[in-house]
Formats: sequence, structure tokens, C-alpha cells
Amino acid sequence: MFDLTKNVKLNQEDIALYRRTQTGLYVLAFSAGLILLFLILFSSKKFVFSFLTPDSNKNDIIDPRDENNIFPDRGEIKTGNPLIFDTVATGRYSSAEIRLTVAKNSPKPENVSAKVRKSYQAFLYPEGDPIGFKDGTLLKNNGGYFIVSDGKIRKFANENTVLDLGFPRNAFRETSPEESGYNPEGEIIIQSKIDSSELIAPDYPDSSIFKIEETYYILKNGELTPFISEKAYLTQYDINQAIVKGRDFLRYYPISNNPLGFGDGTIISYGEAAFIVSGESILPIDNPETFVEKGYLWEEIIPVSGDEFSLYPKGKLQMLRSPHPDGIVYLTEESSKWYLVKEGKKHLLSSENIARSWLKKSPVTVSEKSLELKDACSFEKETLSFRTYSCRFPVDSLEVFRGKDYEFKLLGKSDTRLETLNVTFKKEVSRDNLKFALIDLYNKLRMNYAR
Amino acid sequence: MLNKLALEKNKLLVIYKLCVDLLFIGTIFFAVSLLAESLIPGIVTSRVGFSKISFLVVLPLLLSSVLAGRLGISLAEEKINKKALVALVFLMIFTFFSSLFNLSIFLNLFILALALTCAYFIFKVVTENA
Repeated sequence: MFDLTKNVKLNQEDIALYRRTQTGLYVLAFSAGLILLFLILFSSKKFVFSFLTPDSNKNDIIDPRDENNIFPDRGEIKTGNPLIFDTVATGRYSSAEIRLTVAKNSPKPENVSAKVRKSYQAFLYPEGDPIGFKDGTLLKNNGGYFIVSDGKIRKFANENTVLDLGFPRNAFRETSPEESGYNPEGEIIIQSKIDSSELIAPDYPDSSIFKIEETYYILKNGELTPFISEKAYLTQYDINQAIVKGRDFLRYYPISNNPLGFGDGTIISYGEAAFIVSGESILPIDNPETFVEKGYLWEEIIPVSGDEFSLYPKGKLQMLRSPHPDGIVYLTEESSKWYLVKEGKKHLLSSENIARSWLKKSPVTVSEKSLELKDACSFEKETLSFRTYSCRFPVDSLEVFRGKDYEFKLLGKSDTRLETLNVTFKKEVSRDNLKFALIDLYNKLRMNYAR
Repeated sequence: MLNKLALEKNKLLVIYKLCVDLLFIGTIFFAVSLLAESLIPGIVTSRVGFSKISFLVVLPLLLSSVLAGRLGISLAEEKINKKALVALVFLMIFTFFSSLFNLSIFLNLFILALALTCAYFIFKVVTENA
């Protein structure tokens, strides 16, 4: 054994004592190092929620609610009304344990069981009405020509009307009556009123798109709204669907002072930061891990200029625990169903044609099977506690589903009042888990250093 | 009485030697944690806080210096260990470079050069005063 203080001499008896203690100290340090390594490789992840302090920052279980989306005040759970909550756990876990502590004077919970599913949080939203084509889409069917205007599908009276107005014929995409049935029917576009004196504005339907010099415009409520850039325009519409006009066309319509930006769900970057466009604002993405876990693709980031960036106010920070924002389009991998997220609901886009009118980039892939709730476990009272009930179940079978959001649904057969709720994800010590932990560390390392 | 004092001194010497060992362990642990944190932020601190790791260095350092004073042990003037110095400078360069990795490479190298120059002059001032 080495001695770091050789010049400090001890007598024979103390040398033996020192050597023994020194060996013990190094063994202890080595063991502590091993335990830390074990904690890093086979880490567990704990989430908590206290119904006594529901506004505390320490609560990291997401959105405890009942079936009507109402927060259970003071943790009160009524018979037949399940408690639903979410957690976002990255990494590969073997099992999860849910622990409930009931309030002191609360009736004991009876026959409480848990169900679980794993996906992206917004994909677990309730399903809303199907949505049709996006405004401005040009469609043709059985020789008829249509434009989607103010959400309605409007038919051009005949081909000549289309040509007189200058719509490029090759921009009309073939559609079926079923597809176009998702937009209500609007008025027929009978005849363009192009005045020979060119003093009266031609009667273009709303959502017509024009290219005047290098700027793209969309007609909205009788105003020409410019796009901030061609880059922004191309995230919403196809290049060939704009009607090319000369500068004198601008005299017919007032020009809006609020230019349009990028399509919903577009990922833009400014400097080192990445943002997702959602409605009127851009949401900063907090780190590369969130970016990857949300299913976004690095190659689809669009670097933007200062002018394009300053068009938007910054919205809420997108973290791992945040759901995908409005405007994200999901595609199920099993049945190729498309969904658009909007105002807390996911809306079916019944065909790829409809989906492509909303989306000019790759969708976020999801598993349809991940929507199914699986029976997890039944709660039992813990031996050494009067008020704590727990249940444990394997989660490795859920690993195949994309997304890191675990949604739990607890249902009991009696009223009860909860004080705290804990969920702990655990990893078993196994060769597979070791392999995945090392791969995970490697990926994190790569994410930090890859440019 | 004299025997008792000698006994106490001998035991304090053992404790002093153990403190130096603990300081060595703490320093190694601190350096490895720093290196791991600069590679993957949060890998250690999400389990053990840096204040606790720093405690592992500060506590034996204080204890050993108090004991050294009490036992009349003074540090012999030693030549700078070149291997340790190279390792320390490498660790410093690596953690600095890594923490500024997202900056442009030239700005990163400029700040690194500035930091190394500052560190060199601080070292010179400290050793000259000594």
C-alpha cells in the first residue's frame, strides 16, 4: 500500500492501525464509486405530486385530472371517476411503482387498479372532428376545379373561369368527393369580373395566392397579406400555386401590415437556438434531448433571418414534459392515419392529400396501438404503513411505442382523498439494460458535441 | 502523563495521515466528476450535488491543515510535479473548451488562451509571494 505522507513517521503499533484503516478507507471509496456508477447506469426516476401543495414547483407529475379534465381538489377521488395523470420518463425502464398516500380521515381506497399507456402527450388527447383541406388548396375532381376558401370548398363555374383568373392549371391536385366532403360547400365562383377599364378589383375568392415581383401574397378578407419571405411561404403552400401578377395589381387591394410567417409545426433556428412555430408565436426548444425525444428531425430545421425571427413573439418553453404544440401532424405507423393537433384535441386528416395541404415537412410518427390502455396492477396496502398503498408493474413492453409520455388512469370502487402521489420508474440490473444505458450515455455525448 | 500525551500525538498522526488519504480520494473524485460533468452535463450532479463532492475535498483539507498546525508538521518545499501539472492543465483546458463548445471555435480558443494566460500570471504571483 502506498503512503502519501512518508515523512510523517509512526511507531510499529500505529503503522498496523494506519494500514488497516487506510485499506478500509480505500475500499469504502471504491465501493462509493461503484455505487455511483450503478446509480448512473441503472438509475431510477421518481415523480411526485402533493395534493396538499398543488402549486409547488416540486410537483413533477403532469396534470392530475379526472375524466372531465378537472383537477381533483384536495385530492378527492369519487367512485367511478378515474384519476388520470402523466409523467415523462426518458430512458429505458423495467418497471414502475405507483404509491398513494391517503389523507388522515379519508375512507380507505378499495379495489383501486391502474391502467397505463405510453405515447406522445398530445397524441393521447381526445379525438375531435375530422378536418378538411387547408385554406388556399387548389383541387380538381371529375373535370371540376375547386379552391378551399374560408374553410369552404368553392367550385369554379368552368375551366375558363380558372384560366381567366390566372390560376395555374398544374397546381390543382386530384381529389375524391369523399376527401372534399370534409370541407363544407361554398358558393360557386361564377365569373371573374375583370373590368376592361381595370378600375374595379377582379373578383378573386379569398385564399387566392399571388406572386408579385418576389413577394407572395394571400388574399384574406379583401386584403393582400404578404408572406415575410419565400422560405416562409414554401412551408405553407406549393411554389406553383401562386398566380403571377405585375406590380400594378397591388392597386386593387389594400395591403396588410401584418405579414404571414412559417407554417405551424415548422422548426426554425436563429443563432444556436431552435424554435417551433405554433400559431402566432414561436416556442423555444430547451435542449437537444427534447428536440430528439419529440420526434423532430435535425435536417428539417430552417435557419431564419433577423426579420423573419422578429415577426414572432416567444411563447412557452418547450420542455420534455410539454405536449406537442398546436399544428403538429402525427402519422400512425401501422395504419397511416394522419392527425392534426389543435386546441387540446387531435383531429383526423382523413387522407394523405388533406394532410399534405397542412404539412410541408415530415410528420411525427406515432404508434396507433399506443392509444390502448393496458391493465397495469391493483393497489395493496403497504405492510409498514397505515395510509400508503402501492402497486408495481412491468413497463418494458411499452418501450416499443414512440414518445416518452406515460399516462396513468387509476380507478377505485370507493370515494377517497389523496395526500400524495408518487411514481418511480426502475431499471433492473441486466445485460440489456447495461447496454442501453451505455448507448444512452453515448447518444447524450454525441448530442452535446455533434454540430 | 507524558506517555498519555505521546499516545494522543501518535493517534493524531494516524488521523492526519488518513486525512491526507481522504483528501487524495476526494480530489480524484472531484476531478473525475468534473470531467464527467463537462462531457455529459448532469450525469453526476443529478445524483450527487456538487456541494457534497466539494465537501469531500474541503473537509479533509481543513482537518489536515488544523492537525498539521497542532502537530507541528510543515510542508517541505517540493519541486513542482511536472506530471501532475500537465494533468491539471489538461483538465483545465478540456473543461474550459468543453463548456464553451457551442461558441464559435475561434471565440472558444480566444477565451481559452485568455484564461490560460490569467491562470499563468496568478500562479506566478502566488509562487513569487511564497
